[in-house]
Amino acid sequence: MNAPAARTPTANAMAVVRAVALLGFGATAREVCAYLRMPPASVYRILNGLVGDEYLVRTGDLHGFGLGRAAAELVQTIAPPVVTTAARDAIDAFRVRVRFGVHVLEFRDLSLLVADEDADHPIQARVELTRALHASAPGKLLLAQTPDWRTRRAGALTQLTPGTITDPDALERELAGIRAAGMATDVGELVAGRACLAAPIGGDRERAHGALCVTGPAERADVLTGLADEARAVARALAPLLY
Amino acid sequence: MATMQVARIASRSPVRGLRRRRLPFADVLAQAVAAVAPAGVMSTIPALVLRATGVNLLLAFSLALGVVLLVAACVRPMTQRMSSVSGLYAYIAKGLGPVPAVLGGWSAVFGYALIGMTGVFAVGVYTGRALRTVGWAAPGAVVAPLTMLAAAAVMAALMIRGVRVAARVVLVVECVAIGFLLALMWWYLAAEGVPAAAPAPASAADPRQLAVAVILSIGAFVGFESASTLGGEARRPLATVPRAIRWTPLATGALYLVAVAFQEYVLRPRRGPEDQGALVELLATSPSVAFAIDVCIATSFFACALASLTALARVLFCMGREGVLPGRLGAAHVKRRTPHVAILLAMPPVAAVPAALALAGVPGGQALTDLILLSGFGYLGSYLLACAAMPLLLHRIGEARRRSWALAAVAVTTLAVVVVGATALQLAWAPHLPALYGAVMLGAVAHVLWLRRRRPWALARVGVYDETVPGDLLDPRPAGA
Repeated sequence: MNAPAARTPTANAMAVVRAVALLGFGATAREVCAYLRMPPASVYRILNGLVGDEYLVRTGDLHGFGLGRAAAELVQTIAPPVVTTAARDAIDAFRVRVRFGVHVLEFRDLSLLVADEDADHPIQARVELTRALHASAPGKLLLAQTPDWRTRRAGALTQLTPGTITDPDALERELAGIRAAGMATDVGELVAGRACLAAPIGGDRERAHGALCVTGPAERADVLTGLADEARAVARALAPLLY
Repeated sequence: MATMQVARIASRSPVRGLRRRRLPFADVLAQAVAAVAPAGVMSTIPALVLRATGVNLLLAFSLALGVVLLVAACVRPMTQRMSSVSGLYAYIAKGLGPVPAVLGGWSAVFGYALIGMTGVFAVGVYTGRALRTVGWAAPGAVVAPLTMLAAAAVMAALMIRGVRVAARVVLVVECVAIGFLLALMWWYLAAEGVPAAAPAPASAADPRQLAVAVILSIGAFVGFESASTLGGEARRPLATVPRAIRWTPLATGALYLVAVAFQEYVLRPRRGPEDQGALVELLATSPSVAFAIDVCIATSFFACALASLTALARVLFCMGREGVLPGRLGAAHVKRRTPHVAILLAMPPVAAVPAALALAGVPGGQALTDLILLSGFGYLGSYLLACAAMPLLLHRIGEARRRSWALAAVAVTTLAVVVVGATALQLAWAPHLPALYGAVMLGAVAHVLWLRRRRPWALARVGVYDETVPGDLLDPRPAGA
């Protein structure tokens, strides 16, 4: 299963990271060389560069290597969220009580991952949901707890529907309101004619780990809003089951 | 997989207590550059070399640069693999073992302390000169020692306050001083032009004279390795420290070559071979310029002392942590997170020696020359051991290559020639200097013997460094949490 020597420096570097990951924590430079069948000089250079940038770390005796924080972040942002049986039961119980779509999303740094999707009400505009944080209730919840979102999410606020907030200052005011309410809503901002309510999961005082979303038609937004307290209670109950 | 090794990481860093992983590259570079003190050096050491030997400055400095680049090439691979808090001391320990490490550690401590004293002394001397230039004729015998003590107190406060503040101050000071000196040279060149006559060949290459010149010129570069004492405090130390070690000698070397070329080919032919004054004395055409130059040199030496003492304190801190020195030295300030005990212990002698020299009326130039030469022994001793340690350290972790052995062999041989040459020449010139260094190293040997008998556990711990801790591997919680 050995990877053949790659052709570009970047690919070589990625191959070394992969080799360290596959060989396990404590893999030595020699083992990486043997595994990749690459010349030691290149492997040592790449290893030291990667250690310098903290994609890899050295073990205490300096012999071995392991994945560092920077590599761990790569893994953490894409690893599928784990939803325990107990959590799924609680979510399903809530789904039975309400006649709307109920989804659980997880926050990973500045991105959203779908942890549990309502099979009866599939998520619409899945790509937009994860990319356009400013347009959805859970996205705005995440932005509301990221004070430096403007610098970290560079680029214009895309207009997805006539209701999307595209003015940064208006969005900043909206986020302030969300922080005060501890709750986010969107009415026709992500998908025309759809509304969503998002309650933070975990992080009463600090950062939330995810969001419980209730979605339905925009014309029933008032009913959705009426569910706020119940959604909040369920989200609170979910926190220890999920995180 | 050939052999299975038990991989291990420490649950917490053995040098915990310092502010970990905070300094950006600029601050690490500032530490290295300041310890070299290019502005102060380029205006003093070339004159010293000329006075002592009269050889071609450009040749001497080029050779010195070559030696220093060899040392840097040896030190860099170690800084890429291990984030030291005690500079070369920890690398020697991992490569050659604890006994050479303690000897090398004391050699480095000696070098840093002597350069600290040089800096403090120069601050006093040049501040006094600047004050005299503007007509404030206070008795120098009183003002200079008081200035030195005050400067030392400010340094101690800055270092306890935090290495970051100190590094920032240092970088600004040094850049301003260098910029000013370069501007002066430019201005002189524009006004006077390059002399048409080819310069007389400076005392045709007497190898002995050239050797002295090279040894003195190496003194202009030492200190660049002190970046490796910030391994614990630098952000991404395994990338930033090697970068500082690579670029500092190159950048300061380029600067020196400009300065000595200017002195050799512009000033010397104009002033005649017998006039061998310092670059600054030749440039100082009016009292206000002289004042500004003196202030530049004083600030550059202030920065130099600050950086050298920052390094010194961290070596002592690590020795305290290991038990090689009393454990109190390994204490870190709870709030400031600096090695305050080591700083406070190091400062009194570093302040007292220059003040005493000034009080005793030792001529400024003579004292500076002696202090710089003496510190050179300390640095060269630790460089020699560090270069020898490099391939062994790499071999120990299975990453040695034929090139590493060859490089170390060349570097060690070159340094050995330089050290032996320096000692031989010094014994003929001023035997008290090598004798003093020899006495200190004998003390270090006695210390090692004592450690062997009384504290073998401390000797076994020698070489603590900033190890990987669990937080470097994975965030305990998801990144968004």
